[in-house]
Amino acid sequence: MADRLPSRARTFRARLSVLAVSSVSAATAFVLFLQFGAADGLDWVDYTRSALILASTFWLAWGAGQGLLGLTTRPPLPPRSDGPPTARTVLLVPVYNEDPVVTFARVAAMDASLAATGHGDLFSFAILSDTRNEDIARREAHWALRLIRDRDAEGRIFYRRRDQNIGKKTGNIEDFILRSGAAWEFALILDADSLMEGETIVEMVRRMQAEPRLGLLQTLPRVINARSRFGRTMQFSASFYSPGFARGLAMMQGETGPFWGHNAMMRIRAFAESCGLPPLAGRPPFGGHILSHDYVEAALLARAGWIVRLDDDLDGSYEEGPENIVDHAKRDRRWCQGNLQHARLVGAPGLRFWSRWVFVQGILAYVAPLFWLGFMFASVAAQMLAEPPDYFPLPNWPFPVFPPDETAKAIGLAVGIFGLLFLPKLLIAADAAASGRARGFGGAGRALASTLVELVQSSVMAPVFLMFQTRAVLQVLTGTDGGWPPNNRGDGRLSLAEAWAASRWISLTGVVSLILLDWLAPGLLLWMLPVALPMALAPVIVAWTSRPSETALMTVPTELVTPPVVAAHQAVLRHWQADPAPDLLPAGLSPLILRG
Amino acid sequence: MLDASIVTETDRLAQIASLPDAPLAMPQQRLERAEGLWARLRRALTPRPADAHRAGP
Repeated sequence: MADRLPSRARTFRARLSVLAVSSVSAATAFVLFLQFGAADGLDWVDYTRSALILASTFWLAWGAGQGLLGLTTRPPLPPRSDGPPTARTVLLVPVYNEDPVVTFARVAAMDASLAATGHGDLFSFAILSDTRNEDIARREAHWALRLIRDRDAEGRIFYRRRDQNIGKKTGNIEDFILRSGAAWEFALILDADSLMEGETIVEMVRRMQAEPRLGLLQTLPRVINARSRFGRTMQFSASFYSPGFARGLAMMQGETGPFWGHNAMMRIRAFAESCGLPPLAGRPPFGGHILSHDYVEAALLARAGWIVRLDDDLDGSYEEGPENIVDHAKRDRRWCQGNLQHARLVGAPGLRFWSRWVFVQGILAYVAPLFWLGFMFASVAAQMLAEPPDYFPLPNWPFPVFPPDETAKAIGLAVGIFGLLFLPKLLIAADAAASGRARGFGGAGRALASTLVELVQSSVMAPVFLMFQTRAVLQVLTGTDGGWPPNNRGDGRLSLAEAWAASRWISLTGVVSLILLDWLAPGLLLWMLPVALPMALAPVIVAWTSRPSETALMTVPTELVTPPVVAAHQAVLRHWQADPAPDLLPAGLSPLILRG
Repeated sequence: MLDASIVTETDRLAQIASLPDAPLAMPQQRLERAEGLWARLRRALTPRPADAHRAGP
């Protein structure tokens, strides 16, 4: 429901409502747990556990509140200009050792999609290569020529490769702006695996034109082309749940929105004026180049008075995701270091309050799992330190006095916490069934079944993620990296041996935990089993989820109807792979060609 | 016969696909306070000479 409150009041109300839900949930959990702990007398372990429950529940409820907000509210439609787009726009495609055939075929597909809108002349592409591998660089040159020839795009599709990749992706974009930024008004920042429909891009230009204070417009990319069990589950989550959560997020952040680094359009002049990132004093992990630059750039745009907005209603924005847990954990390791580095920037001068809170949330996303881990350790310690109950505490009183049974409170608390985890997803499924949105996911029955399977699968994977995240945080704090086994297959499939190599430490931790629990705190064994057992079975879970998915569950709309730009990408790819342009790469003359 | 007119694909690409020369300044932003949080806290908690005088013997 769109309301008529002024924008700032609406944002304030959204933030306040989620804060209230989170605070009440956290306080309730805290009090319940204290009462549970008080059954045998309160001590420091009980206070520690209650504090950890307080922090963890607040964080869980914050996410759940965001989902519920997105489910129950609709932000007003953003302003747009009905006239034709007039602003010259460049699509930036930073590449780094990617397969040029696949990546440049995406450029060809998006260029064709833009041409089909009738506004293709307004748009250019700049492929910004930071590729270090010389073989791949040679292939890039070849396929860039092929791309320009096939799309008849001389003077419209540009390619350049930097000699040194200083500042990585941030430095790559900055180099473009310093050299050529004034030639265009807007830039659409893409990742190598991004795909966007021409109509969506044109609509973004219209919205940028309609709001001159809009510095950056972020879309919600949908994951496509997933094939493995893990990949399709993530794809389903991104397609089915994310719009609800993103709508809640959009309501809360108001004009201080997010930038996720790609599939977003920026006003180049605003970006250039506001977003020159200095290296931070000191050495990595907290000093040096800013790794998660996008969050910081969003904060800097907002600091300079520009609007940063997430328009969750924009369809036709796609990306690809990791196909297995190990690739996901590798990406997460990078994000973890980037987010923890933001601890240095929470107090940066002049930032808006919400920008600072976004940094804190990014840090909590990686630190909060440690609260749960701490809670589990503290619970074991509590069991070990617990003294046997004294049934005869009163001298000269012959009848036993039983301590109050507070088990019901512990069970109630567990149910409440699982409710926070599951309820938003179940409500989203119910809403999808009622609104007809579930049709795109194979119908209401299949969407609900997919939701239930996703809940089970994500619950089983959660302890494995918990361990990878814990390790990532510890590695960042100690400045180490444990290394990763290579993943050689394009489809992301991992053998049991590869999965074992990547996750044996989790498995051993799980097995040792089970043995220690049985020995030291047998009363907790049943409670800890949902965590310790998946840890013990981590290699099996990692390998099994990396296998190709053959179920009809987890269906998403893009699998039922291939989006036009995705179909165009597949067609270009087939054409190029069948005919790799012999005139551009003559036999015996490679890599030379004759001029004229 | 191959002569000076031979170019690599990279050269050819540089000819037809070079970015336009349209520079835009991108000034570096200030992200850190000149003084860190701990230093500011320490300074705030350290008695200044005037305070020390006021405290007296």
